[in-house]
Amino acid sequence: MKHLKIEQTKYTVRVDFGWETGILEMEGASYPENASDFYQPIFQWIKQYISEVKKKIVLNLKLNYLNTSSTKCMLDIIDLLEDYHKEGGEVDVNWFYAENDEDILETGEEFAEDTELDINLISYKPDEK
Amino acid sequence: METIKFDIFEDYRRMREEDVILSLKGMISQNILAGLVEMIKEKCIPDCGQKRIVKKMYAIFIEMVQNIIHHSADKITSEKDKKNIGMGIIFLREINDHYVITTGNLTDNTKVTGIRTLLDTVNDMEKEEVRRLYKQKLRAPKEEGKIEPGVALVNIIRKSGNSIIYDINSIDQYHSFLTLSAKIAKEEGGQ
Repeated sequence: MKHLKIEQTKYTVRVDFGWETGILEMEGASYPENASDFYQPIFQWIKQYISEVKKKIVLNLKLNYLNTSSTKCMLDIIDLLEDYHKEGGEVDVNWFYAENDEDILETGEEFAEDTELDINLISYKPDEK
Repeated sequence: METIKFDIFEDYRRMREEDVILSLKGMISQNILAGLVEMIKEKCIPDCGQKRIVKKMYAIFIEMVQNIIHHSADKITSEKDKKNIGMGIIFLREINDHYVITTGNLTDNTKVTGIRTLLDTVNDMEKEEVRRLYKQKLRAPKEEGKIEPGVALVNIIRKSGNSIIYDINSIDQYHSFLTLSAKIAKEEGGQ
């Protein structure tokens, strides 16, 4: 298993996971027709990284919208990392939100409530279109 | 010979009276949904101040349209690329200080009681209770990526801050027609 790269579409996120760096990035909106199918390779990659590489993981999430089933997938990813952390793995989670986007900040806060991981909520200035 | 004349003026007039700003009946796919979402983002954003409301609106719109794609009883499933195309109806209306999204689709009669019970229960709940139920239901299935049926409906009620108004019209012994309406206030803090 090496670098995992998935291009962004209108309804799926850009994925860029570095096998060497341990930096896992996801960006964009997520409302695929079948979230479970879309996120399956992502779950697999993380599991394999945890069992084979065993190094620090930095998860950078810069999301602007998650539908219900994508929210569940994101929870499952955070759960995987939480388990890794409990077993002694080093994990950083950064939740980037556009400074005026209260909905996505709220989603980040809700994730933070439910996990023992520290989720860093970090605001950024959105590009004006 | 059958006539092809098809009088749509009455439909047009009624939709104008009912403040319909978007209507669609047909086979609805994920790509059509993505197109509609782009349209809502581009055309319905009058100014930046309402950005949050527009986002809330398309968030709810996506859940409701995906509900048709996944659950319409009138559906084409392509095994090859695992895609569903559901037959349904979508309306977006702008009524004074609200947007109202209404969707309709065929549903199996076996699901009717479940839908009715869920909506009646959650519609009566306080905001905080809805939030708790949503989180609890979302976490319920242990299997990765799986969600319980009905969680999306709970999420719509949670996000809109309003009940889902619904109607179920019986068609025959197998099917009913399900209508769902969600209301989104145009102003922050509005009900």
